[in-house]
Amino acid sequence: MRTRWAAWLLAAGLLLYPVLAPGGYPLRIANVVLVYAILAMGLNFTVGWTGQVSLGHAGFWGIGAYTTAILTTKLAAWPAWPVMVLGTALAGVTGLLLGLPTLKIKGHYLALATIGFGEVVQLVFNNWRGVTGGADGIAGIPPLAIGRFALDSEPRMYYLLLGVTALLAAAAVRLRDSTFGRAFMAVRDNELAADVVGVPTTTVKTLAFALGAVYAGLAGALYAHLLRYISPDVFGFEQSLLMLSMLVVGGLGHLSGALVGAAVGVVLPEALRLFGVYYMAVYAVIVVAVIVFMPLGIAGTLLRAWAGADGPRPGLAPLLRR
Amino acid sequence: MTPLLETRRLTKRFGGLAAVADLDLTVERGEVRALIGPNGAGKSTLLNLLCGVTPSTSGEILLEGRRIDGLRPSAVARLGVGRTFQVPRLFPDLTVLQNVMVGYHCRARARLLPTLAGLPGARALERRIEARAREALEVVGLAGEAHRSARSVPFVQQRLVEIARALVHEPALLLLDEPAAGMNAVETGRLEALLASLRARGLAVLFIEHHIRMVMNVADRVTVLDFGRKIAEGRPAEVRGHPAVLEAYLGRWTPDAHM
Repeated sequence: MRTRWAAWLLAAGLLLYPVLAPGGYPLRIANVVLVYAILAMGLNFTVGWTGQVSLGHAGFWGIGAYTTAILTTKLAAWPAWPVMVLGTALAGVTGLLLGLPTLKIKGHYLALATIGFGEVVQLVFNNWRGVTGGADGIAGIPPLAIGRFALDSEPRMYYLLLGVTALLAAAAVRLRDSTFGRAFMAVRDNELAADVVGVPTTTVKTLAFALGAVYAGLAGALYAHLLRYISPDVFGFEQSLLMLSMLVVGGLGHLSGALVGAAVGVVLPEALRLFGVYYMAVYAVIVVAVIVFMPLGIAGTLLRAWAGADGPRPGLAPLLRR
Repeated sequence: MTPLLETRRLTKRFGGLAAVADLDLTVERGEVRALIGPNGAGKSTLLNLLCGVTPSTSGEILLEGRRIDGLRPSAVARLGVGRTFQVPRLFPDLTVLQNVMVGYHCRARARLLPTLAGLPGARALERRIEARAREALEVVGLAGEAHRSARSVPFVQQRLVEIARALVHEPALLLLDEPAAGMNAVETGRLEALLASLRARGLAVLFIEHHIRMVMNVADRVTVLDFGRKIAEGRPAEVRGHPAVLEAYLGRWTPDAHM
């Protein structure tokens, strides 16, 4: 009963946020949080549920964003919504093609392969000048519109992003409580046992990877329409690392952890700007403190307290195993 | 009629060591077969070969007349082989019920988009999987533990969860690696009753065991391995007094050794 009230309160707060928030800046931050929430949910499929370390998630994000930027500005300006579907699908297919060969390798080797993928994608963005605009990036991406109603302001984008995030979260919950989600976690918890009881482990890992890429691709398309300008430096290795740190801080393996982590990972550095040039150092100390004192992450620790000592506690285990 | 399981000259070498050598083994439908032998006789290696975890060096494995050597473990499981491990390998962060539900994966035929959209078909499938898993837990006597976290379940019960997880994908052959290890007399008795009930349902069971009393009580036939070779096979009472078996376990008594 208390949980239900808390959920309604949270939903009301989220819906009223644009009215309550003072000015455009907090709303922009909220929109960026929502984009990262989608990214983190996608990465959680791969890392949190399936236990496969990926450090190239920003690459899929970039593919979604650049597909949107290129096709809606250059080349006869295609309509935005089909392009968004295309960019999302392209990221997913890339995830599939990358996952099939690389997911046969494990642990650190897989992490290195995904770093390599991210670097390659960023190199393409930087150097294929004729198409990607090189280091200058692409400006003039049109806002999204529903019919004649242009989503050209922060509050309007906020409601779109909130709706998309909610839908994707609902899909993720269904996935978690299905044969697919259980297969992901079985592979994470004991790959040999999963195989022996009939879970085709490579297929399952590839599926988790591709689905994560689909979420990232969609986040990229939305991000491009939100900022209306993108450049290659946004989609680098540090971003992949940031997304991973969001999962760890929020609570690896928990969907709510991805959401909490995205909020903390975006808002905290902004709040720490009062420390001037040292703000990222302070942020790093806080992240390390969370890892040391709350290895289950924020949401993981709360859920553990809720469920008792016998509750689930994936936490950092998937990263430390092997 | 083709036997359920047949191996022909099955061999596994680790470097120069033949863990399993030229083994011909036949298990019939509905048979409970014990696999015994001294430590290092190749019993666990044989189980790993049969379920596809370890690739064989040479020889053939046939399930219902069909070659299964070279297949991945998940494919072997789909064809009807379930197994448990000597040290239980559960999925610790899932509940007992979820652990068993994973065993239904290869039968479920779930589709991704209906699942993501939460369509009625996907929800019905989920209910069916849960019902199957609860039945399997009922069979091993753990219906009351369904919602416990697997990591919090005692060792002996973890093994029963493993059996339920293997049963749920409806195997024709169940491979058990020392199922009674760590069990007291009462628990062993229950396990014997469970194996008998599985046989009554037409399942074949191949189990490794050191509890000789249990072997005598439940096995239809016993196969004895030593250094990867079959040294004896037959009904429990026959095998018990077999000279080769006594020698493998106790060594040969030679008068010369005392001089």
